[in-house]
Amino acid sequence: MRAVYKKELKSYFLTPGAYIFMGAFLLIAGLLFSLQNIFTGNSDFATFLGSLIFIFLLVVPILTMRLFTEEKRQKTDTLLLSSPVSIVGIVLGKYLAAVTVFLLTLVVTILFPLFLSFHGKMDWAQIWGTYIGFFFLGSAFIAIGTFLSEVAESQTSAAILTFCGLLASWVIDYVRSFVPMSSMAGAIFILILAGIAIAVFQNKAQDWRISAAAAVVAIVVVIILYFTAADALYGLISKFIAWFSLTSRFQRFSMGILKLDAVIYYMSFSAFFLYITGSRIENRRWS
Amino acid sequence: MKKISFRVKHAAISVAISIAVLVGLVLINMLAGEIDLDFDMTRRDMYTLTEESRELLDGLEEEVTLYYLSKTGQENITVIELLKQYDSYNNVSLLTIDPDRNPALISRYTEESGEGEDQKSIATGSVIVVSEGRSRVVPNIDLYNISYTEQGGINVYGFKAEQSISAAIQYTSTGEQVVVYQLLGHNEYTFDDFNYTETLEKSNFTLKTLNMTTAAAIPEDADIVAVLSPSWDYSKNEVDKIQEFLERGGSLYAAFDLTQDPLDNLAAFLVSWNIDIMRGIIMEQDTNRLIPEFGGAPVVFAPAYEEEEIAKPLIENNQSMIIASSMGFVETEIRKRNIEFIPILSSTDKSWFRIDLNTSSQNRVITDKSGPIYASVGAAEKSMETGFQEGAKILILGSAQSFTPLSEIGSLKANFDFTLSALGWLAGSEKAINIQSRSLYQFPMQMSSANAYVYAGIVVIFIPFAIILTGLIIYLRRKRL
Repeated sequence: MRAVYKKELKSYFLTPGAYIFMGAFLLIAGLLFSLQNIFTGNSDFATFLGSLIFIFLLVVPILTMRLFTEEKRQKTDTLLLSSPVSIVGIVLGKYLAAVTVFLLTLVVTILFPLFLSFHGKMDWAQIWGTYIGFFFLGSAFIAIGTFLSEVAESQTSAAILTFCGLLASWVIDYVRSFVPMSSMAGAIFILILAGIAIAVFQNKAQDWRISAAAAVVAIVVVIILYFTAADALYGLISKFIAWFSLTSRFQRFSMGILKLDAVIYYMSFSAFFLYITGSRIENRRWS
Repeated sequence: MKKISFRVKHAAISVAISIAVLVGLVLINMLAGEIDLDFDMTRRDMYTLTEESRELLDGLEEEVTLYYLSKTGQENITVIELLKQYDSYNNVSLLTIDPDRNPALISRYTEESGEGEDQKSIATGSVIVVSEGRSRVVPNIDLYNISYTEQGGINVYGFKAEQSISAAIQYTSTGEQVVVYQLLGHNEYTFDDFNYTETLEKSNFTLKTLNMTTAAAIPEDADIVAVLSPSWDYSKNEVDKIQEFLERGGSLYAAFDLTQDPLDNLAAFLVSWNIDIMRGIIMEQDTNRLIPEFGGAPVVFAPAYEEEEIAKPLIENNQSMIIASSMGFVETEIRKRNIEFIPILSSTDKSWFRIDLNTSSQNRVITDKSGPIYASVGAAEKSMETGFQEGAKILILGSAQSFTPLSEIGSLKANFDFTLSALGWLAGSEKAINIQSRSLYQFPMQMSSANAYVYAGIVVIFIPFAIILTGLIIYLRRKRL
């Protein structure tokens, strides 16, 4: 893993990738900081960081688009897969290199509150708490980008896919307000999810008998649930969507609450995307 | 056939591992949710309950239910985070209720929140506190400190949800309220004249009136008696009734205005509490404390806070009271040792005290006394053994008219907050919940425009372009290699 990490980090700084990411990130952040804090004399830095999270939409694709697509372009992916490095090592090495570039960028932004501190008191505890949340949120976005870089065939498509993926996670909170709340909608939603799982299985297994049996079981379970635990199904779609909302969990950090469950959530969210990235590589290795 | 069964097996294992990973991650998250480990990093411990609330919740013997009215996904996170702190106590449960799905529950408490024309609907975002068959609706507007700008805009400057909710829990779980008798019979004001009644009642004060000329004694259920600007003096007999009430451990809140005739009996009574009333008017000269809306008149000023416990909410929220035409107070020369004299509000050392009221000069005259002068003082009985305050307390203000809505600036929030805090101090923490609101003001910044341009130049131009330039140089060098 260390070898992949070092190689990836080196390649970030020997190509324009890291510089474009850092430059774009710091330019947008600097502009917003000037408008929101410097020229208005506002010492509330946590709120500034909170309003900065849209930046991930723009810059994370730049950071992650080349992680796996570059290997595919240069045809070095086969070489990498046949090397003694484990798939976990490859995925983690690449992911951690991207996270390191992001962390370095964040370190530069510490200058911002430092400037403010020369002219007034600062809420340092709250600022550090928000930074921790910002870092984990960014890391989760980078994990999505890592996965989509593996999925895509070219850097451009990786960047577009990542942008769309992050946009989806961004608008998820707005969508929540419009989804139907009834128990019937919840039941139908479970059936759709079960249908997707069965379709994936059918695609891999090509065994319609097992798929059909699974579909029947799913329908029976949902009907029983609907008549015995309708309350649990109420608002299910909204709750399900909420579970995928990365940005709503960040709100607590920018309010000054450092929550262990939110940190664990971001870490497990990242872990899940890295796991499915590894699974895809594993499948490719054996195909 | 063999090939298909291999695929099925491979697919099943693949799906099973994915589900196991997913379930594992969900379980870890559920476990972390159960541990619910939070660190409140805010300067004012915004989401941490105060010692006063914790004591109240630890001592709860009855079950308390908090209904938070909100549509799913539209909860106010600030309020929810505080409510979760209450929910972590054994006897408190929190239920988020969608008002559209529970109209019956809402209408039940809507009926209890008022009758007839007073009946109000309960706004989304409100909290209903229920315990022991009693309930109190805490409207969403009572969760924040709000002031109105001259243009009619709303300025939210504080978060007072803990005060409102803890007061509601105390009331619903015990049924106890602080009973304040407003004494009448001498053309006094009532809290209604100050527009304070509704908010005081929400803070667990029950307001009653008592005509002193006909009452035999202060009733047994009284915790505090309020004397608000009597136009003439109390009789000796009436003063004795107050004295007798204080000897029972009661408290007195009194606000005077300068009257035509001196209030000799009341003044003599206060002397027995180590307080001397100074007949005259405080005139402030410190321009930082004069009020522009009143043309900088020296009789209208923002007093300094001398007593930390009562003034704490005002200091925290950076609020200034306004006092107009205030009499002064001083500690008596001969003092009772078991009574502690407590300065509360004062003028500055640039002020003076006008004794000769026939003089209309705005400048200092020879008969004026030098400041600072106390505009409000308190007195508390203390134990001779421990030195701690115990027993009766009194709090006196030299200007009652400052609490009526003023023509230039209306009803002043700071003056109300002072009254609420003062009544809470008089009632004692075991009877009245008095939790300061959390200020939402940010630290002020003092930055010159030159500095601002320098910093903006560094963060917008220098840093990003230095990084991009470095990248460009490295890229071009490598390209040439």
